[in-house]
Amino acid sequence: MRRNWLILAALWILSLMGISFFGGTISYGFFAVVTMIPLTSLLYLILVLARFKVYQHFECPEIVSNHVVPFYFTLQNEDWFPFSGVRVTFYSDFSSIEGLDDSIEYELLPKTKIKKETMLLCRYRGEYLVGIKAVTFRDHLCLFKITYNNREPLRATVIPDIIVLDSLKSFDAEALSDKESSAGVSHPDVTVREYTTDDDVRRINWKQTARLGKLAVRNDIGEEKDGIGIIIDTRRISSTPNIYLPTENRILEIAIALSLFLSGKNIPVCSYHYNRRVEKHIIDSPVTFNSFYEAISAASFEYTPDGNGILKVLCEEKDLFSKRMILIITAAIDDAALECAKALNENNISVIIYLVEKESPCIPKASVLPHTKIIAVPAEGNLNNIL
Amino acid sequence: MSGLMISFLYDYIYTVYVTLTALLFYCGHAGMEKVTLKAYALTLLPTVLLSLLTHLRLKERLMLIGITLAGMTGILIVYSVSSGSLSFPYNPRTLPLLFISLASFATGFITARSTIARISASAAVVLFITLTLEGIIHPLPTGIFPAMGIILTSVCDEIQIRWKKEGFTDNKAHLVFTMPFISAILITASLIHYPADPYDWKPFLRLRDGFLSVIDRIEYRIAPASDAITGFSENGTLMTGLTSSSTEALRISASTDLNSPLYLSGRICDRFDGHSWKKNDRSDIPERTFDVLESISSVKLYSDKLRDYYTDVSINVEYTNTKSHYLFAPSKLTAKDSSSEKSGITEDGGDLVFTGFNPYHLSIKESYLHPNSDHPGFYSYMQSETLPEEEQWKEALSVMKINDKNGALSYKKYPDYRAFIKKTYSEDIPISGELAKRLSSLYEGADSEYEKMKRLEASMQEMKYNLDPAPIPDEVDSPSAYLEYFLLSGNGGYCSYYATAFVLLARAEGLPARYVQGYRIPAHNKETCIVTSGMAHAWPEVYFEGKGWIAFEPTPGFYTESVWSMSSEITAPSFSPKPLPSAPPATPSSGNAEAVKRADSKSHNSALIIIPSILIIVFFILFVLINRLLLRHRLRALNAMERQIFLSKDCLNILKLLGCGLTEGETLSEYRSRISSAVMPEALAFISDYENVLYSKPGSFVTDTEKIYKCRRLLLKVLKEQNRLRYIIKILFP
Repeated sequence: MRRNWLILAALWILSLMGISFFGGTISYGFFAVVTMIPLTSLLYLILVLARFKVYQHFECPEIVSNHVVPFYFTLQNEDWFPFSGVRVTFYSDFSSIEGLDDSIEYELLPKTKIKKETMLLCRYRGEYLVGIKAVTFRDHLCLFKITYNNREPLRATVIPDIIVLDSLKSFDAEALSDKESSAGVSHPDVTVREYTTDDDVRRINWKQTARLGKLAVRNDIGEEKDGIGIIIDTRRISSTPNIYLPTENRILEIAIALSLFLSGKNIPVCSYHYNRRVEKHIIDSPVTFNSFYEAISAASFEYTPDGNGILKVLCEEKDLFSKRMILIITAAIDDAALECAKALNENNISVIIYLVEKESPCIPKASVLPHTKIIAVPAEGNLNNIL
Repeated sequence: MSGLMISFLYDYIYTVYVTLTALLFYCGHAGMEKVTLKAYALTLLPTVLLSLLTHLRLKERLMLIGITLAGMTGILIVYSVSSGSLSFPYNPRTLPLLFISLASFATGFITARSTIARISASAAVVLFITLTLEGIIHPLPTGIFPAMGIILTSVCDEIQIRWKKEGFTDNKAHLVFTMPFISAILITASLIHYPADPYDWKPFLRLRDGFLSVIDRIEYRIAPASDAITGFSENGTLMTGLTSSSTEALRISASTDLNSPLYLSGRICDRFDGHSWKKNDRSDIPERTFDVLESISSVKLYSDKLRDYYTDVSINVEYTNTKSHYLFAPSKLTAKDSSSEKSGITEDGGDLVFTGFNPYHLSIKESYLHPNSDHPGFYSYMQSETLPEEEQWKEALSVMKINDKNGALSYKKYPDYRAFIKKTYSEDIPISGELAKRLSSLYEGADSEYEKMKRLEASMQEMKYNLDPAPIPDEVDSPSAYLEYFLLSGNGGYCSYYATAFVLLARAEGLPARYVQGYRIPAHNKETCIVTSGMAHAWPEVYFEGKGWIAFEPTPGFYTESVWSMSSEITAPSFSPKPLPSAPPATPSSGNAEAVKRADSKSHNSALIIIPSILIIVFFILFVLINRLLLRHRLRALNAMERQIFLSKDCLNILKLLGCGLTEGETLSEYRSRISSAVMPEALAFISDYENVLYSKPGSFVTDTEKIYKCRRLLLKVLKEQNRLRYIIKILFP
């Protein structure tokens, strides 16, 4: 394009010299033609811009992050003149179009259309613009380039991906399960209650019955009290989508993956997150997992300058202290997180903090807490290798 | 738009631009002011036909040829009937136009197919524009637009070919559909009326002039004036070995065409020492004005028709690159514009000199009296020896619009002026020996001093001109010695040598004479004349008492007559009777002659109808025969299965002509049963075979060509019986 402009400029200067030294139709005609070339090219581009049509859509109403969905777009020329160079650029920050090079330029002859069937991949959970971002036109003499920003972009609502973990590396879930079974052995006196008619006779603790002189039944609340709590920190750490979308996506992915894995191991999981109020979900079956997944997909993260509030509120939940282990998934370890972890540690509750950061996460001073483990999780990459 | 149409239009876009460019070039070259509709038709129509012929199929080509021939025949008939004679409407320009058409088609055809050809065509157009601007070729000016069309089309096409794109990337289609935009540029540009003069690009020109002025001024300051080259010099030495130079010095434009050379006087010298001229006259007497007053008053005394003897001419002298303080002006200067007065010009011994500044890029308007010096009437005038009187002097003052308040130019001062001139420009130069003899022989029988000078001028014209004469020997130390050396040695010399000799000889004859250096501008028309250093010249001027200073041209090869008709010679224009147009040839008046003419005309008309008719018939016969031959050739090239299908389709076509066509969605079996009542069943036997060929496995069915030929013959027979016209069409165009 620059070369074409240089040639045109040289011709224009020549034509100026022509009319300066020679009169008549030849020199002035040459000047007029050379002057009108860019004007006509611009007029042509304006015509193309006014008449060009582009259609796009994707088929799935609900997009799961990192799962492709069919995406179609059509470039159409319904006019009598050709569209010499049309280039389509796509939103690429959070989504991509699979198998399509957006540096390609298309030519559309009159009354023709180009339909492209491709795949759309949304990388993060959230709501953002996908598909065609802008269309760039070039004229037939390659002098001008006009970019038209799509005024009717597609907005996709993307739910988080369900990542199935093969195993858990961050802590020993099996051991946790063992501890659960031995809980009754180590603290039998506090785990019985008086028999009621609805109780299963197999649950009667005969030793305690003999000792107390009345039927005593093992108090079977240990599975609820002593499960794992997952605190999902729904603080928005930035107002920039490029920063907060990947981290929020990863936080939810971790929560979902851990919930799915632990519930699959029959370890009761209770999740806590803040969505205008503290929401608590017990996940112990596929049905409860689905309701948890729906709820967590719709969870909204809130950006507050003093974001400690949300985690503070979550840490004030009393039943957290009845858990054997608390998993905190957060994008920032701050005073609130540390105080929460400290309080839990003091009650002999182990804490694992999953710290999600967009850039390479660094472990802060929190690592000095005795029963708190911090695991850095990058916003991108395979969770199986980290969790 | 079909591919065929796009391909045709793509080719034709190139062809039409090439054709129009060539046509407008030819028309301009042939001196035509505009292109007629016929010329357009004669060049463009053949290119359309040829382009179509290259894109159509054979049958369509033949039909097109037939239609063209028929059309041309029709035009010929109409033309011949209207003109009353059988003749081709031949015009001397027809053949070149047809040639242009063919050549343009070939060029356009190649250009559309080759990048090299496109580049070559564009380069040719650039050359075409350059040559036109330089005035070497003269196409019609509108030729620029189709020529630019070639470049624009080529560029647009090349860009598309090299552009890596996806989608519908047919460059031919792209060019065809983009052509409206390119054409819009050319049509719009061609509709604009353009001025004939170059654009007055004042800022640009001022910038250029300013830049050049700085360069010139620097050069003017630092470069010494060279003496050994041709050019005006303030040095009066007669040198040798002059180098020719053509540096621009002045620019002259005159109010009228100058039919004889213009002498611009610069420096006047009065004393010669044998080698160089010196200027002793430093008086502030307005010699130039006195000279003009003397000349005018003298003519007024002799005749009341001043313009018979002197004509007033206005010129504009622009100093461009001359290194001199002298104002270059004709000797008999009557006026110069007021701006020159402000420039500080003073008179110094007859010279006009700029004081205090260099005349750089100064422009001065001057008026002067140009003598009718070669007219016999002027000779007569010069022979009269009476001096003008006060009355004529006052008239001269009035003619020159001089308000002589202080009396510096009064008639009373006139005798003093004459005495001063005689004293300053006269010299006693003794001549003896051989030279004296020659001069007495030359002057013998002369009626006046003026005639003597004219004889002297003519005799010197026969001498030898030499830019590199031998150096003047040191022993030449006086005017007499110079004359002897120069005139008797035969070495010749350039203008300074001859002017010197002439001045000295005039003085020897007792006439005041002076040596003048300046520029001699050859005769030219009103356009601006660039005065170069090569036009620097020296010439003698002789003072004739009562008449003033008269310039002579003794330098060989430089003399040009200055003469025009006097008022007494101009009579009413007479027209020689033009020969009357010759009488028209006698027409036969007898009834027999008329009858012969009518008979001739009738026979012509018959021929007009018969010949084209025969041509059309011959064409049709040829067309039918060729078509049949091609069909037979095509059938022969097919294998048995294909031939079976082809002939079956042909039979179905015949059935269609019989009104029993296959309807949509109908199977062949259904079709056969439907029409079996209308057509004899033997003729329909081919349908089952056709069905088998179409739907059976390849190779499993044995074809029977004879059977289908038999069916075809039967069907044709039925068609012949039912509709003879359709039968004939089917036979002619199978």
